[in-house]
Amino acid sequence: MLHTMSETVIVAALRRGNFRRAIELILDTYQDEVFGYCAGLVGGGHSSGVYQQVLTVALDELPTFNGVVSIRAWLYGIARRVVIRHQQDAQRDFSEPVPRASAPAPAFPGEIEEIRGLRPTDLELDTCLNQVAPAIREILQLTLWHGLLLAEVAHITARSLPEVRRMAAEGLSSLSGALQRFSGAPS
Amino acid sequence: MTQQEHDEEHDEEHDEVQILDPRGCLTLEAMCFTSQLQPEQRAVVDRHVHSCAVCAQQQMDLARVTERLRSARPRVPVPMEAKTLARQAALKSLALRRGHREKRLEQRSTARMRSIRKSAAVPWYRSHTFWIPVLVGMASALVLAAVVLLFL
Repeated sequence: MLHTMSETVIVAALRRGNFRRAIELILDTYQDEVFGYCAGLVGGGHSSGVYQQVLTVALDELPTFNGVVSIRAWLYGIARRVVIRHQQDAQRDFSEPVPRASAPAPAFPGEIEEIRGLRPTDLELDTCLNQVAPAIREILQLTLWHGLLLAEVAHITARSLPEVRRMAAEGLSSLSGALQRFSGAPS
Repeated sequence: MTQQEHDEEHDEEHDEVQILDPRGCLTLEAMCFTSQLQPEQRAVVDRHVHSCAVCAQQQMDLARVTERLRSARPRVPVPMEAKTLARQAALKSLALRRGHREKRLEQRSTARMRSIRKSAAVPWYRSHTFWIPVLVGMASALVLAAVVLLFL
């Protein structure tokens, strides 16, 4: 509800061409969660720099915001792109490898994953989550950890809504199965 | 409308979730994220789980996993200093961009003025009294013609 109200005010400021007000409102409303999202993906040491880049790209793209998705989803989309670029750059630089969890490597370069140290504290869940494909894991994290709608996740990950819905459902189902196997309960 | 916008609208229009499988039980897509389905689709799901114990059990398992995953979300504390710095940098950057944009416009305007000055162009302006000398001239010509005709 709070987000919806803020979105309305931000979009109104954008329509008036008041970018300063829009940016101030965006920072007031979404700074913590977008910063947290970046920190969860790149680690504490790089989070400030990556977040700065996110803001830079957001400032660049703000005049062309078309309102197809919410400001929040739009920001997450930018943050995701910046994080992917950062991770790809860091992977190319051998002197500074990207911190990696014990999770399997992403199937393709566009996929990102939460890093060690910012994983769930639930050990069973952590182990089972690692068995889920990175792309599905990302969808589950965006949906359940960051509270985004499936339609928003579809926009952020550049997939169709039915595909995201199917992947999320399959992910939850396989996670449920893995947890049952892990705890020894009959499946 | 861009192609992407069109595609997204197209997707939303055609986001028809299959609620029941050929056996008459709920599909996995219908059981997960039920709150994001259309009201009529939700009603079908609700009706079905009231009458099917297997689907009800499966939906409950999925809901339990969903809740467990949701509650395991790691919380990342955002340092106040970093937030303040990011905010200041963003606003400073916005001001700089605005400054740059105005400067660019100003430069473009100055360049244009310079080219106008070089070409010695004159602003084209026709006053409302433009036609008076024309009419006077025509009248004078007519009078002159009449005088000439009279003497001939």
